[in-house]
Amino acid sequence: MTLKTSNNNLYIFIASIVIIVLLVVFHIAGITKPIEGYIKAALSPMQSYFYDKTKSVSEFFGLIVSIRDLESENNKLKSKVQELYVERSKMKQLENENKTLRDQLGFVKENKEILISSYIVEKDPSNLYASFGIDKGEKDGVDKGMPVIVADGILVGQIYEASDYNSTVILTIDSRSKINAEIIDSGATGIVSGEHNLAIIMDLIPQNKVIKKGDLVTTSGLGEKFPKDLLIGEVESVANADNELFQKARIKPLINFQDLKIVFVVKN
Amino acid sequence: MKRLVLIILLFLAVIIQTAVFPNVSVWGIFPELFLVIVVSFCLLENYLEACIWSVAGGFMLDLFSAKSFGLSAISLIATVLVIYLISFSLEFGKVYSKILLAGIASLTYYITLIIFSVLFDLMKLSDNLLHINWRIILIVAASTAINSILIIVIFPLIGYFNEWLIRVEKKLETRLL
Repeated sequence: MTLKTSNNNLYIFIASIVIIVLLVVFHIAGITKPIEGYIKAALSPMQSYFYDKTKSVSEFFGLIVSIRDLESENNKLKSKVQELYVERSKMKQLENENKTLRDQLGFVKENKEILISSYIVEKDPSNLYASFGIDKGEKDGVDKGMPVIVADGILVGQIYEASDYNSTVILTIDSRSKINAEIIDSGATGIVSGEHNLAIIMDLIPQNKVIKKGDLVTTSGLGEKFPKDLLIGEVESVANADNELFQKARIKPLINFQDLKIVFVVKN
Repeated sequence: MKRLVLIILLFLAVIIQTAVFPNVSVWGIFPELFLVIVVSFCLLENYLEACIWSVAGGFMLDLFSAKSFGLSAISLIATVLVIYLISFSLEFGKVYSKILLAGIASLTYYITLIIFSVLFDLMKLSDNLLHINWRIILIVAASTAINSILIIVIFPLIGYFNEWLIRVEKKLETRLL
């Protein structure tokens, strides 16, 4: 390598670093936001098309791989269905009881949630982060911090960033996700947060509450950021030390985040 | 013409990285296409293209990610710089040396990403600090291996593209003269 080309390369590196610094400053100042929005909007249809096609292919190959596990999975599901039948009958009784009580009290549900359905068009391009992009943005009523769920009312995450026509969603396993939660059976409340894109941890649970493995965890509605009763997951393990003020529980998500295709943004 | 082709390829690479690779991942781990492209240009000693792909590609990646804006671009340019410094003392003619370089580049990329996520957090530019744990180490190791394999496929393609770029530049020069 000659001295001239070596010097040229040095100038290229310096120019690149200057451009990066300028672009970061412009981004923080919000100057580049419209351009970023246009780029995202322009690529979104193609991303959606390719995401959908490759998802179908990966699902097909996933099905072939999972065929050998189908029998054991089927048996597990059969026993789970039986459990759910019992649970459903109990729920039905409670629902009726609840309805009667509500009627007697003249209670009217105040906050009606509006759901904005959206397709997942892309996933985080880096292996070290877990987020995804959806095809709805500020023009559709999506705003930062809004909860994102799947059809069954299971919480997936929240809006991290919204541009005009697209938004980025961070999952409940993301370290930045902090949600007021409640354990259904015991009524214990606490804060659910993500643990380095790996797991969900529920902290600040009072010591006097009894928590069992398998207990369902929902949003508590405190803080009014998230509506009440959105399912977050089930208790996987509990860390309970006598010298600690609070208990801590590891929560298992009820859905596989990799399998998602359509999600709903909850607009209050 | 040259830059138009570059923009089209850049957009195509973004679509592959964000919409195709996550669905063909192995245990959730997929290759870093932009990193492999940048390493390929470095192997061809075309540092201008490597820097263009680092800056433009890095920002495109950050646009579609929930990480701090600028992290990918900084990590890619740091990787180019490391390869440039290594190139003074090592030759990369053989296939195994290209694979080795892709491995070193991947490690440099991820280490820079982690260091700058800490720096951005300290400077209050970000709230998404990357903590080093067994999962991160596993991802970095697996991704390094995948990227090293991908260079065997990508490098020849970038080679053809680079030759085309040189031909276009020569044509332009002769026209201007």
